[in-house]
Formats: sequence, structure tokens, C-alpha cells
Amino acid sequence: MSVCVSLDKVSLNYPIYGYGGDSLKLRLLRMLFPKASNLGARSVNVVKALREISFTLGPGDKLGLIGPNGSGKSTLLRVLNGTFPPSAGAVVVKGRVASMLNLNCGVDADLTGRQNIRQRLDYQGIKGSLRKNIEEEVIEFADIGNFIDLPVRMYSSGMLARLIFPLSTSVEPDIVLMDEWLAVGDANFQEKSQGRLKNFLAKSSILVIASHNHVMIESLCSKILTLEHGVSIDFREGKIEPKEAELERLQLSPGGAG
Amino acid sequence: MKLSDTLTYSFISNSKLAYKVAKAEVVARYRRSFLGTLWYTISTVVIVFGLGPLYATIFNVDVGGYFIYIAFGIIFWNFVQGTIVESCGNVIQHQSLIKDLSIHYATFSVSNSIKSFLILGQNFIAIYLVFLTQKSIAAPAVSVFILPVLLLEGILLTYVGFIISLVSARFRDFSPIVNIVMQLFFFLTPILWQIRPDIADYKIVQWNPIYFLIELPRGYLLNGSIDVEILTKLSVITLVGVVVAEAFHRRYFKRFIFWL
Repeated sequence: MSVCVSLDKVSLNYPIYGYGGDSLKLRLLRMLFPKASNLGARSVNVVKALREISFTLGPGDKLGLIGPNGSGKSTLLRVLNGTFPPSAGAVVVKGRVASMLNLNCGVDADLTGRQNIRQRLDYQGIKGSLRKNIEEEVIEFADIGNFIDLPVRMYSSGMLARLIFPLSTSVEPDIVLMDEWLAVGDANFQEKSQGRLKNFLAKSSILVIASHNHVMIESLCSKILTLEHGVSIDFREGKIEPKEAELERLQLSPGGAG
Repeated sequence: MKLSDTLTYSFISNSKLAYKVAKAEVVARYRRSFLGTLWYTISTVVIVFGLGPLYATIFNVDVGGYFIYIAFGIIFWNFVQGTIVESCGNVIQHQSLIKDLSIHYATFSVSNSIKSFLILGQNFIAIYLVFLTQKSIAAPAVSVFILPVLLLEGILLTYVGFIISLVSARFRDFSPIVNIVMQLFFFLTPILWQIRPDIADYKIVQWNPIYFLIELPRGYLLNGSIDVEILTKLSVITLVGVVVAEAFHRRYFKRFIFWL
């Protein structure tokens, strides 16, 4: 099975529930009084989040998604990680996906760092000796000393990032989905984490990254998709190799979520 | 439709993860207290021995027997009510795991039922230990056949809980309704009071599914025999629940993510 990501005329209509006249009470009232006009809207509002997006990525492809806020970049990433089923069109994703869209998800503030690592590995279905290895390796990389056995709610946000970041990059994926380039921790740790992230991406076969940092996208990606209001307005297939110099520069540029 | 697309298949294939989630949550609720999960049991014991003597006098029944009756009644009520009420927030509470870690939403209906089973097991053992310390109470023998009875109820509650969790994700005003209805059921169901021949014919008793769920295991423990009529009714409800839940899953599987 070769790794691939393929979208064929994918559209996503995002229904907005729990807004306006949308509640059980109002529904029942509308059933009882069908002629009343002040009982809210009957239909659910729909946002056309993506419209007929098509592209195919094979091994080695790095796709950058650019576009203004609300143009559908994150939604597209969520279609790729399987969260949102497309309203029309076909999505094919073959390979092990690492979705780095919300790193903090599943973190339980009352559990210790070590317990959180184990819980995340449970959620990811990682078993056997690999678990032990990942646990040790993540703890070593996080390098937060005895805090690893204290509840996560005691952590500073930087410390939490030092734990979550190596955990999120501990499994070798085929496909990486990222929303903004990550920069976490203090200066010292940032250097270490950028190295790890590059390594992580080098091992993966396909990368899809959404960002506002065009310099980074150009240096990192071989294909660039520009979105606006959910429509693909430009799909460039530049053969720009990720230059080491550009990557180095990235370490200094302020990154996104951390 | 493939077998692997069915809700039942997802329930089974995610049961291992569901067990881990359930265990973590039972511990989590009382993590920062000294007595921990024992609180579940203490509250049961307090109700049984707090209400027991007074209500036994009101109903003019033997106190020792009444203790056993309400103890089992309350334990099974907690099991049924807990599963149903917790189902409401089930999918909503775990939405980040569903959205970001792509964990199947069926997992949490199973974990919810397993959680209730773990609490039931602990309550059951603890209340028995309390009975043994009381000379006035002749605790009935427990047969292993209580397990298949409870398993049937667990299956029913998992499917019904799944339906409730989906409806409450879609309509956020559904969960208070469930809470109120369950409060009503607590008084409509013979838990604190006992059925007498002159009220056995009331429709509210004959068609009360919560009564079936409590009476089947309680009656079995107290009388040593299974009420076949209730068993049949529960089996039919389970079957209907499975069919409806499967239909819900099939229809809303793709849409529910937008409800979160």
C-alpha cells in the first residue's frame, strides 16, 4: 500500500446547529403551532466551507495551504484527518496519519505527566514494548525533572508544551497534518524541538501544513494551495527544495500555536 | 452495508479502549479525596441506613427485610439512573477525543456502561459486607446467574444510552429533560416502596421500564427466581433499542460531528 492523499471535487457544507431557532423546545412548539411565525427558523444554517477542492499527493509531497482567516484551511485539514465527512466528492487517505491540529487534546489536568503519556498512548492504540520506549524517550526529551510525576495542572504552559510536543511527535507517521508551524518552550528548548520536528517531518512521507507564514511555506513545501472562501484559487506545483538555510531561519521566526 | 459499519461492531471493537476510559473516569471523579471511589458506596450505605428504620415503620414492614429491599433497590437504581443520566453528556464531554484523536464515538457509550458496572460491583460488595456485620439482617445468597441478568441490562443501557447521547448532542436542552424524567421515575418506581397486590395492576407499574430494570436483579436476589414476564419485556425492549440505535447510527454517523 503506497501512501497517498487524494481529493476529488470535495465540498463541505458545514451545518450550524444550536443557533437561532434550533432547540428541542422550539421544535416541539413548531409542531404544536405550525402557523406561528416567531418560533425561529425551520432550516439549519449552512456554511459552504469547502467547494470542489481537488488534488493528489504522493510520497514525498509537501503541501502548503495558504489563505486568509476563515478560508477553509483548518477545515480542509479536518477533512483529511477524517473528522469531517465531505458533503460531496471523494477523499482517499492511505497511510498512518499524525494530526497535529490540537496537541493539547486528551490532556487530563489531574493526571501526572507520566499518566498523561500513558493515557495518550492508550487513545492512540499503541501497545507492547513500543509503549515503554516512547514513554522513556518522551520523558527524556521533555526534561522536566521530577515534575513528570506531578499533576499536569501544576505545570506552567511552557512545561506542558515540553511534555506534549515530544508526545505528539513520538509515533512515526506516513502523513502529517499541521496547523501552523510549532515553536514551543524557552529558547533552549525551541532549538531542540525544531530539530525534532524536522526529523519527524523527514520521516513522514506526506505533509500538509496550513500557515500564514508564506516564507516558511515556500521553503518547506513542494506544492502550494491557496484557498479563499473555501474555493481553491491557485494550485502551484513549484519544485522548491526545502533549503537548509531557510529552515534555519524558521527557528528564529515566531511560530504559531505552541 | 458492511458488518464493520454497524454500531454493534464498533461497540465490540472499541471495548478495550472503553474499559480503560471507564476505569480512568471512575478514579478521576474522586481523585482528590482521601476516600476516593469509596464515596460511591458510602452514599448508598447512608441512604439505606438513614431511610431504612423510618420507612420500614411508615410501611409497617420488618426492618431487616426492608433494609435488604431498599439496599438492592437503590444500588440497581443508581446503576440504571447513573448510566442514563451520564449518557447525556457522554459524546459532548469527549468531543476533543472524537474530533482530534479520531476515536469512534461508540467507544464512550460502552465506557459509560462499564463505568456503571464498576461502581455497581463495588457497591454490591460493600453493601454485602455491611449486611454481614448486622445480626438483624439475613443477607440472601448470591448466585452467579445474576451476571447474565446484569449483562442483559448492560446491553440495553448501552444502546439506549447511545441514543440519548446522540439526541443530547443535537439538542442541548434534552439533558435537563432526562434529569427531570429520571427524578419522576425514582418516585414512580417501587424502590423505597413495595408493590402490593392492589397496586400491581396500575399501568404505571406494568409499563415502567425502569421498574423492570430494577426488579429483575432485585427480585432474583430476594426470591431466588427470575420473573419470566419481566425478562421477556426487557428482552423485547433491548431488541427494539438495538434496532433503533443501529438506525440512528446509520443515519447520523456522518452528521453528528457537526453537532459537537
